[in-house]
Amino acid sequence: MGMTNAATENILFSTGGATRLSTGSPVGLTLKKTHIWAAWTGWIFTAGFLIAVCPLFAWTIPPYMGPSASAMEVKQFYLDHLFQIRVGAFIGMAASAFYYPWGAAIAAMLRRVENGRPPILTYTQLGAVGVAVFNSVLYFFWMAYCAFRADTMDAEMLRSLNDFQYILLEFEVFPLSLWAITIGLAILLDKSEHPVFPRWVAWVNFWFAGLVMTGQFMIFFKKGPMAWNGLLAVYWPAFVFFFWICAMSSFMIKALKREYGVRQEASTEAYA
Amino acid sequence: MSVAAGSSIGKTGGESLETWNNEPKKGATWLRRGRVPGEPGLWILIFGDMALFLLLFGGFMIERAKEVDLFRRCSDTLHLNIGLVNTVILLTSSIAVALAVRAVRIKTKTWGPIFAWLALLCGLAFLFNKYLEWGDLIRGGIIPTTNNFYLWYFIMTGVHLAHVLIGTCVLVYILRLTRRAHLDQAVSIAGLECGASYWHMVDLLWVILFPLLYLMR
Repeated sequence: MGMTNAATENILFSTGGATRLSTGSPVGLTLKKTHIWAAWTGWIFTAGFLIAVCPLFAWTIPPYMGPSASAMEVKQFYLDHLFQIRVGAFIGMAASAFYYPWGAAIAAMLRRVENGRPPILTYTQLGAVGVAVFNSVLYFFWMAYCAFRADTMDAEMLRSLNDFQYILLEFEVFPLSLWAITIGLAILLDKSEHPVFPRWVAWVNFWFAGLVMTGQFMIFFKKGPMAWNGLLAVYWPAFVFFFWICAMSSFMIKALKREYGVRQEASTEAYA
Repeated sequence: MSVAAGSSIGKTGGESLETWNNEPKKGATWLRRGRVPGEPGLWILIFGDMALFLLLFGGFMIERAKEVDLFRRCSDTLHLNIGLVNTVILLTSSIAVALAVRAVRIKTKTWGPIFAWLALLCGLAFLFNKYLEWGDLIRGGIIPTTNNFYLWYFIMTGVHLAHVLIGTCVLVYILRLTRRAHLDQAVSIAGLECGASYWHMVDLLWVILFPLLYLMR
């Protein structure tokens, strides 16, 4: 079993060459390249998300209005920007598809840290990916829903639905924080000769986990920096969040190019 | 770099303690004299944290410039005495933490836990004072949404309070480390320094926060 796997590794994981094992795959396609594409999904998600929410489309980052806007102002915003909001929701949903490969890739890269033991941190990360992507997807669902029949909807109801959109955008913080802490722990516990990520990247995760927390308080305020259009509820958490995604994406790409994420060092009897 | 038995050259937190007196595991980052205190990565957390507070301070100054009179008047209603006591408490705890780390490093191990306890008690005292202060304001009908000044006051002291709460847990961690050192068990100096640096940051933030909120006219 071990010998076969060593041979397999030499063929499948060799630098750059086309695999000879999978005779049906296109020339030049390797597992390594595919994995690197998976790492790029972080950047694609970031770009797609930010384009979807920018003033050209949904206009939620930066927000066009605030919690203290009247129902008529909210309805007027929707009436004036109906098509672009719908396009924003469309783009956002496409972007959300690139969220889970990124999360899965991190978990996969760090799985080997738990070799020989139950992969609790890995599974926690995968669970967190589900929660996070659910949030992203539901956010764009809701955006689409608000814009679907906004012209005939009651203004108060539309304002209420619009509030929920921002709750979806900003209120899920703790689940993401725990996700980042799990990643950080896995990185710190990496005692191998060639760690997957540099040690200090764990602290970027801890930084994100702690500092994104200001957004969690948006539910208590309708004015000021912690209202859903405020500095601490939108801009700071968005900055921290996308910085985190792009940083992790970059380091994954680097690590995959070094190939240490898939070395034989990883036990082949590892849990699935 | 060899590690002599009993050497107090630190290592990054997280290594198993049994390697403390042996050859380091490959991949461990050995830290030398003249090194970055704690872990290099910790300073990303610390400076990143200070970035948030920079935003808070900047936002506060901008809001204040719009309503200087209101901010001055409301600043007078704050509990200056409690604020002063809190400042002294935090400064004392910072000194205590620094001395605790030093005690472990120069092997006067009895003093480590003593200073760590002192720091922890100071941290708890700060929390208690905050309870008194906020409690008094809230009982007087002043809540974050009362006006712009109090909004920023509660948010800024609230975010700082969250850091003190985390910092208290860090102080407990420091206490555990000093007690382990006291019992002659291996201890990660870098871990101590990480905790101490974080607490110093909490203290530094308060030292800026206090004049902004309580003293500025």
